Amino acid sequence: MKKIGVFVCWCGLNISSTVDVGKASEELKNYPGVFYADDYKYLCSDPGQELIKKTIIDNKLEGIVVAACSPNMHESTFRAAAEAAGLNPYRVEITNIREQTSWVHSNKEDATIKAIQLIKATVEKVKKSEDLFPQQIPLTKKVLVIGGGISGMTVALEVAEAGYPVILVEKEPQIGGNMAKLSETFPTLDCASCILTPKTAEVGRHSNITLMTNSEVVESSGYFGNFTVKIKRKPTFVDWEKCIGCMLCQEKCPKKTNSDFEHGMGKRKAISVAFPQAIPYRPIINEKECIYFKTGKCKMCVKVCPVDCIEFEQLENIVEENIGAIVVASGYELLPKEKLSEYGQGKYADVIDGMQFERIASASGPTEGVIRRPSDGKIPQSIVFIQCAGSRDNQKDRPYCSKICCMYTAKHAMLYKHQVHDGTATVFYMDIRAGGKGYEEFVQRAIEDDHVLYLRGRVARVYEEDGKLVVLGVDTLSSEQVRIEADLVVLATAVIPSEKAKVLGQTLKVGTDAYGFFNEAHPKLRPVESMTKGVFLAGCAQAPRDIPETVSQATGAAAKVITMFSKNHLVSDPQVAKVNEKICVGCLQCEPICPYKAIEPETIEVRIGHTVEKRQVATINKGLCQGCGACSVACRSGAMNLSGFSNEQILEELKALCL
Amino acid sequence: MMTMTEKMREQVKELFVNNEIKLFIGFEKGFTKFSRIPAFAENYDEAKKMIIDEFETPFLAKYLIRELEEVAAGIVEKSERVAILTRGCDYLGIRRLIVDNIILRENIVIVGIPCDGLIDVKKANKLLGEEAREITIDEENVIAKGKTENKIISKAEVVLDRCRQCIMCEPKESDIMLAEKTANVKKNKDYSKIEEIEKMSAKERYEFWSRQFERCIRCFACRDACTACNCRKCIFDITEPEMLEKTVATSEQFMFHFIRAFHVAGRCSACGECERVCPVDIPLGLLNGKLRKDIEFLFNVEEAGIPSEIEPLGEFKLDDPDEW
Amino acid sequence: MSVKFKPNIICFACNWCSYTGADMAGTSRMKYPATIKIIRVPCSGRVNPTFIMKAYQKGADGVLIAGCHPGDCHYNSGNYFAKRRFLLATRFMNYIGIDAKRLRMEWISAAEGVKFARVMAEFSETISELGPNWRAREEV
Repeated sequence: MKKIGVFVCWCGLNISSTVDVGKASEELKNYPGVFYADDYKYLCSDPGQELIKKTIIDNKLEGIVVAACSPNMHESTFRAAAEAAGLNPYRVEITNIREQTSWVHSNKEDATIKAIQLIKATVEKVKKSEDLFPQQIPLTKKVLVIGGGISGMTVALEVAEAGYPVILVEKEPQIGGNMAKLSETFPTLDCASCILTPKTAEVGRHSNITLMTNSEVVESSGYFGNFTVKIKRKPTFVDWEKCIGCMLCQEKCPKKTNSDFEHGMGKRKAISVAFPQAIPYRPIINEKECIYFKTGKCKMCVKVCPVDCIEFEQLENIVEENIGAIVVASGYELLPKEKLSEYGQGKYADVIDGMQFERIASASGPTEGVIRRPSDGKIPQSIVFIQCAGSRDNQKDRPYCSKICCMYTAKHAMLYKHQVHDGTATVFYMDIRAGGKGYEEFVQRAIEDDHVLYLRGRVARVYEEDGKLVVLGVDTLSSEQVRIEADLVVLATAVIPSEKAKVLGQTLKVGTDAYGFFNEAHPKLRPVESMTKGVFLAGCAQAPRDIPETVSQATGAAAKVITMFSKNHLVSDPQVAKVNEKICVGCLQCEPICPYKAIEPETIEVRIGHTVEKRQVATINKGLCQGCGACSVACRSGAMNLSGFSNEQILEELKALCL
Repeated sequence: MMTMTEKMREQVKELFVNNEIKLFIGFEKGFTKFSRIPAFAENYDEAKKMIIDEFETPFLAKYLIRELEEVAAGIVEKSERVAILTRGCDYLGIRRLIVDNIILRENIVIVGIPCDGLIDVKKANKLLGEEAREITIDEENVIAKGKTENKIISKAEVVLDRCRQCIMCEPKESDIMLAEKTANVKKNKDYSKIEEIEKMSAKERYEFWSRQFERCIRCFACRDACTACNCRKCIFDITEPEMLEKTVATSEQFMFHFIRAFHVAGRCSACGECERVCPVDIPLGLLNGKLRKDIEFLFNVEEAGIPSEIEPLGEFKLDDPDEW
Repeated sequence: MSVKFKPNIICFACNWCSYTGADMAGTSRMKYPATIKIIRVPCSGRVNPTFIMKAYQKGADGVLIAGCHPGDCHYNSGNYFAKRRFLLATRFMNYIGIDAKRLRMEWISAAEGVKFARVMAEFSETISELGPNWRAREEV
C-alpha cells in the first residue's frame, strides 16, 4: 500500500464556507492508504506549497491528493511543488472541491459528503498511479516545404531568415506558383509579378534554401522532429549546373507547343522556360513534344548550346533527406470548365476561366496585356462574368465558397473597363462576399466608378449563336429572365485543391477533407497545424484563400516551425497511450481510431523457453500520441492503456464514487 | 456423380502428394451416431476417416489459430499451409482471423463446401416421437427411421435454428470448391425474436435476461468457441484491472455477458457457435443479434456479420444519428 | 419512505470542454444538486462502455457522459467514436433491461456553464423520479 498524503484547501472561505474541510481531513485520516491528511487555508500560497513539500519529504509520501480548486487552475503548481520535493509529479492528483463542489452546492452537509467521497476516489486513483517521465525526442532542425507558390516561399524565407536550412520542393520547373500567373492583384491593382519577383529572386539566392524544382515528394517516414523523405527529381534534360540561361535553345527550337503556364492561351517551345522572370531561369525539354524524343532527329538545341548542357539521356533520381518538420503548401487549381455542362463543357473557345483571363490581362502574357478573346483575337465589346461556377453547388460536389472569386471577378471587370471604356461588363453573382480590408470599397468602385453591371442571379445556360455567345440567366432582384449576347464569357470556377493533394496527404499521413483540402488540427486554435505532429499547413492547400491571408498563415506556419526548432530536443507529454506487449494480440483495430496515426504495427521478439517467438504488436509513437485514449477503449483485452488515465485508475475512482 | 466426401478425399490426396499442406482439418464421426467432431490429418491415410454430410458440425476456423499461430509468428516456415473444410459461416470466421492479423491467408487452403443448412437431430427426433436409429438425407427430405416407424420430413422443418439465420451459404472465395454452388436461397434476415424482447417492458426484459444469465456457469465456452474472441489474453482472465470479479452473482453475470457481447459488437459473424457450445442454452445469439441489428440500423451497414477491414466501432460518419 | 431518495450519479466529463464547462458553472456560482460526481477524462472517447456497466454494478443510479460538441473535439474525432459506442451501448443496456433513461450523453462546451448546471439538475431530477437502480447491481 502506498503512503498517500491528503491536503484539503480552504481557499479562504471559498471552499470552507460550504465544505467542512476539517471534517473532510479528519475522515480522510482514517481512510486506507492515507498516511497524512490535513487542511490548510491557502495551499497554492508559498507557505502552502512549502507545507506540501515538507510533508512529502518528512513522511516519505508516495503520492498526494490536493483537494482544492480545479486542476485547470493549479494542477501544474502542485505537481511542480511535489517534483521539487522529489516526488514524481504524476503521483499528484487534484480533487476539484471548489468549482465543482463548494461553488455549485449550497447545502453544507451534502457538499461535505460529496467532497469527502471525491477525495476518497482521488486517493484510489493515486494508489494506481505510476511514475511517468517525459521523453526527450531528438530533433533535426531542417524543414521541408512542399510547394513553391507564395505560401511556400513565405514559409521558406521566414524559416531561412531565422537561420534554419530549408528544402523547398516544387513540382513545376520554376517557383512562383499560381501567383506568378496573375495579372494584377486586388484591391490595390498592383502588378503581381512586381511584388512576387523580388520574393522568387530572394528564394533563389538564399543560402539557407535548397531549391528542388521539377521535383515531388514520393515517400515519407519517421515522425515529428525526425522525418525521412524521398524526393523524386524529374529529368529536365538540361544540365542546370552548366546552363548559363542564354536561352538560345529556346529561340532556335523548331517545335511550338501549348504552354501549361499560359493555360492554353499561348504557346511555348519544346525546350523553354515558362516565363521571363522564372526562377530558376533554366530551360526544360518537354519530352512529349520534343522532335528528338519523338523521331530521334533534330538536336537543334544541342547544336546551339554554347556550354554543351543538353542531356537527352537524363533520368529521374530519388534523393533522401532527413528533416524535422514539413510544411504543406501545395496550393490550388481551378475546377476544369469541362465539368460545367451548362457553360458549354469547354467546347467554346471564348468561354474561359479566371486564370485564363489573368493570362490575357497580364502584361507579360500572350497578348501583352491587351484583352483579346482567344478564338479570333478580337477585342471583346461585351464580357459576361459568371461567379460561383461550380462553387456553392451541391450538384458539383463543391458546396463550399471559393472565397477569392468575388474579388477577382470585380478586378477582372475593372481591368477590362479600364481598357475598353465603352465595352460592357456584366457580372452574375449569388452574393458578394467582400470581407477584407479595402475589399468592399473595391467592389463598390467597380460598380460605381467603372459601371460594371452586377446582376444577382445564376446563369442557366451559355451557348453559341451566330458567332456570339448567348448567356441566359435570371436577375432575381427584378425576377426577370436575362439574355445577354457576349463576346467573351469568364467563369469564376471553383477553387479546388491541387490534383496531387490527396496522394500527398496519404504519403505524409495527413488527412484531407472530402474535397481534398488538408485538415487542420483544430479549426479555431490550431489552424496551421495538421493532425500529424510536425506537419504544418499553409495557403490554399488547407482551404481557398487570398494572398494576404495566405501570407499570414504561411508566416504563422513558419513561426510554428521556428518555435519547434528553437529547442535542442523535443519533449513529449508522458500522459500518452502505452501497450502491454504481453497481452497485445496485434489485431490493430486500434489503428484506424487514432487521429494522429501514432499507432503502428511492430514485430517484437519474445523468448519463450528455447524458442524465440516473433510477434506483431501495436506500438505507440510517443512523439505523435496526444493522449486522447480512444484507442484504449477499442482494445478488448486492455493491452492498450493510457498513462495518467489508466483503466485501473478510472475503475478505482469509479468504484469509490459509486459507494 | 462423386459425393463431396469422395471429392474431398481425392483433393486431400493430391494436396498431400504434392506436399502442399502439412495438415488437413475436417470432420469425422463422433461418439454418438449423428455427432460430428473435428478431425486433423497430417497425411492422406489419416484423412480417409473424414466425412462430409449434413449433420451438425463444430466450427473449425478457430483451430487455425492453434495450427497457424507459429507460422504467423515466424517460428516455422512461412510456406507451411493448412487446408480446412470451409462452409460460408466458417469462411466468415476465417476472414475475421485474417482481418485481425491472427493468421495469414497465404497459409490457408480453403476447401469450400456449399451449404443449405445443417440438420438438427433433436428436431427430427421430436417429429419422429422417439430417438431416430437412422437418418438419411436427400435433396429435399430427411428420412428418420425409428424402432417401428419411418418418417419423411421436409428438410426445412429440421434445419438448425442458426442456419436459418445464415448470411453466407458458401465461402465467398475458396482455393478448392467441392461442389457446384447451391441454389443459394436468400434467407431473410430474421430479427423477430429480438423484436419480441424489444417489445417487452424494461422490467420484463431484465427479468428475462436475469433468468438466462443466472444459469450461466461461467465456463467461457462461448468465448473459447468464438473466432471474434481471439485475444492473446482475455480481459476476463486478467486480474489487474479486474473487469469481471470471480463471484457468481447476478450482477457479475450481467457484467460478463455485457462485456462479452460488446467485445464482439461489429465483429460477430452470426455463426451461432457460441449458442451451440453453451451447456446451459443461454440464447447468446439474441445478444449478438441485437448488436448486429443495431449496427445495421444505426450506422447504415448492410450486413454487420461480414467482417470489414475497419470495424463499425472503429470508424464514424459525420451524419451518425444523434438519438440516444 | 420518509427520507427523500438521493440518487448517485456519475458524470464522465472530457477535460477540454465539459470539465471546463463544469468549472465555468462553478465560477458563475450556478447551483445544481450534489448528487453528481464528476470523473475527469481526457476525452469522451476515453470512456469505455464497460465503465458504465461497472458503475451500475457498483451502485450508480445514473451515468452521464459529457463531451465536446461534434466538430469541437480537442482530438478531432474522439466524441464521434464515443457517440457510436454509446448509441450502441445505450440501446444494448436497454435491451438487457437497464432503463436507457439512466444513461445520458450530452455535448457541453467550455463556455456552457449554464447548460452544464441545467443538464445536471434535469438529469438528477430524471433519476430521482426513476428511483434507485437495483438492476445489475451488486448484492452487498
